[in-house]
Amino acid sequence: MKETLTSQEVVTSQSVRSQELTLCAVTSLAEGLRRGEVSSLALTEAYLARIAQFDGRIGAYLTVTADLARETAEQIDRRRKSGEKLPPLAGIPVAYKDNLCTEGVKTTCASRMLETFVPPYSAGAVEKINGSGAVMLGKCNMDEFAMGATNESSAFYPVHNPFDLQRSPGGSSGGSAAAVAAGEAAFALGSDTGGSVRNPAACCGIVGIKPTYGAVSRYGLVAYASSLDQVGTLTRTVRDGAMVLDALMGHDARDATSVPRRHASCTEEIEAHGTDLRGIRIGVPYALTEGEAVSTVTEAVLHAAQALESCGATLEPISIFDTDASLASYQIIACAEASSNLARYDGVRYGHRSCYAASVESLYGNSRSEGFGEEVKRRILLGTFVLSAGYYDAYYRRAIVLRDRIRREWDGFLTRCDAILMPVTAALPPLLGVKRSPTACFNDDRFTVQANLSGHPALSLPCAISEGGLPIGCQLVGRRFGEASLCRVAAALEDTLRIKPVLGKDLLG
Amino acid sequence: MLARLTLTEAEKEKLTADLQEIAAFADAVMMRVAGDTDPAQETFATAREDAVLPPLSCEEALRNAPAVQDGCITLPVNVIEGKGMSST
Repeated sequence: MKETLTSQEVVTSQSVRSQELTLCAVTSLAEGLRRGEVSSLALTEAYLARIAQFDGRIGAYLTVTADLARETAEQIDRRRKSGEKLPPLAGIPVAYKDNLCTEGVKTTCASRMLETFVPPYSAGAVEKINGSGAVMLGKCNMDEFAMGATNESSAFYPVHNPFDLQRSPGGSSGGSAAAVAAGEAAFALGSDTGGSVRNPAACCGIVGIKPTYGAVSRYGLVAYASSLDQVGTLTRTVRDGAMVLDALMGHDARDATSVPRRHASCTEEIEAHGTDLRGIRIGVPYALTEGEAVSTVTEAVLHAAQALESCGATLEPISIFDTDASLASYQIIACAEASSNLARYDGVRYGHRSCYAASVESLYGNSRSEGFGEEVKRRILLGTFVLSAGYYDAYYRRAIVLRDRIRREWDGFLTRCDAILMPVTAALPPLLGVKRSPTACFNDDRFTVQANLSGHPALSLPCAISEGGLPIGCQLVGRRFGEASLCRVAAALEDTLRIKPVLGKDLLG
Repeated sequence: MLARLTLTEAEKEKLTADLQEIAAFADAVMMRVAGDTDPAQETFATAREDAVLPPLSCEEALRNAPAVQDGCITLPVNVIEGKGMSST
């Protein structure tokens, strides 16, 4: 045995260790930090190195806060060394979707409109995670103002799926999902208005959780559709998601829709039950799953149903009301709220201002037209149309009636069942650059909008890998504020299926 | 008008076609499923205590403004007076 390593071998050995660190679960990293096996600074350097090495090909980040990350990591290491008892997430590198305000750090929403915007305050969710000692690596790419499901509407550059660079990572939190999947962040936060956390999680082979509406603060989340938006988590495992959710949930008086209540610990619920799901009832919409998803997705979801049954759960067939109705209701409500929320961008107080204006009206019109991309303009126009006096009853009011019906339907399902199992996406991650009509794009949200309309928590986790090596996700929808129970079911499914999508050689380092 | 967007002719053509397609989709669904009942009036919002909290400083509030003078956000003179196009 050689007594010394050559310099090349040292480099190789460090690089292998860094690669291992950057693909570890948050739970393992937290344990390593607690035991002193690795420092937060070393961990942070490993992630920054990986971002430098791979993000040119992935495009997950819009801003990397390397110096700030090193400074935070050093502080955490000092506090740990001094014997201070730190929260479980202390020292773990995190990335935030670029629609979560970060004090002193540019927050663009992937839009020219906010290209230079630096918020004077941080979002409630960011405060919670930073307050837990997590180390912010930077801000993630996304569809412009979270409008889209392929990440191609980013005004800056698209995000590439780490499992196939020709494909989309899903959206709109595609940068957050791709960063976690590619080992460029240990975990990330995103936002989910119609599936924007669950869809990219499914496309990138990771776990995405949209909590119950009101469980996580929306303060400082740049608003798209306020009655549907919710901050969510993107992690490599269900246990990681549970750990982050435990730190994230809680009341925030600055968000009037935040609900003051005590949240059961998701982590403890998982550990208390393991893979034992006896007594748990899972609703499965068989007809919908078989009729509206491609066969590879259908087979994967039905296989997940069998896995849940093998853990002792009882399966109950359910019949979901017209998904076209959910899509129509969602599109109308989301665009109506977007048209109102985005009215604030007028080029006067902040955001892009046009150089070409003859009047206040043309200053508004030109600033908005130059600052917003096509998808955002389309949704604003649809929103103002459905809210206009002549069409309000025909569209907006009916969409609200439909939303009530969908909410009651899902309350009924989740009275009889503990969770519902269904697909996340109807198909595999789409190829980048393929033009589709607006209604064809609706199909991306077919299985996800229901949980936003009804407010229930929903989780996406990998359940299969396609022949071409692409991840396939399945979705579990749970009872309102039943995140702990939802995580328990998902962890049992994850432990039983043991699906671990593998990155291509070019991204393994 | 309500959207406050200045669209090119090409954009108008494309977006009109898109909106027609979306409206046709919504029309078909609404015809099939929508009842005429009033939506339930549910409210999730809880107002916080009406207390004065420390505000942003003037400097912080103005930091992202496109143009500032003497602690105020400014607009080009011709916009205020409505005197034609400007490139300032």
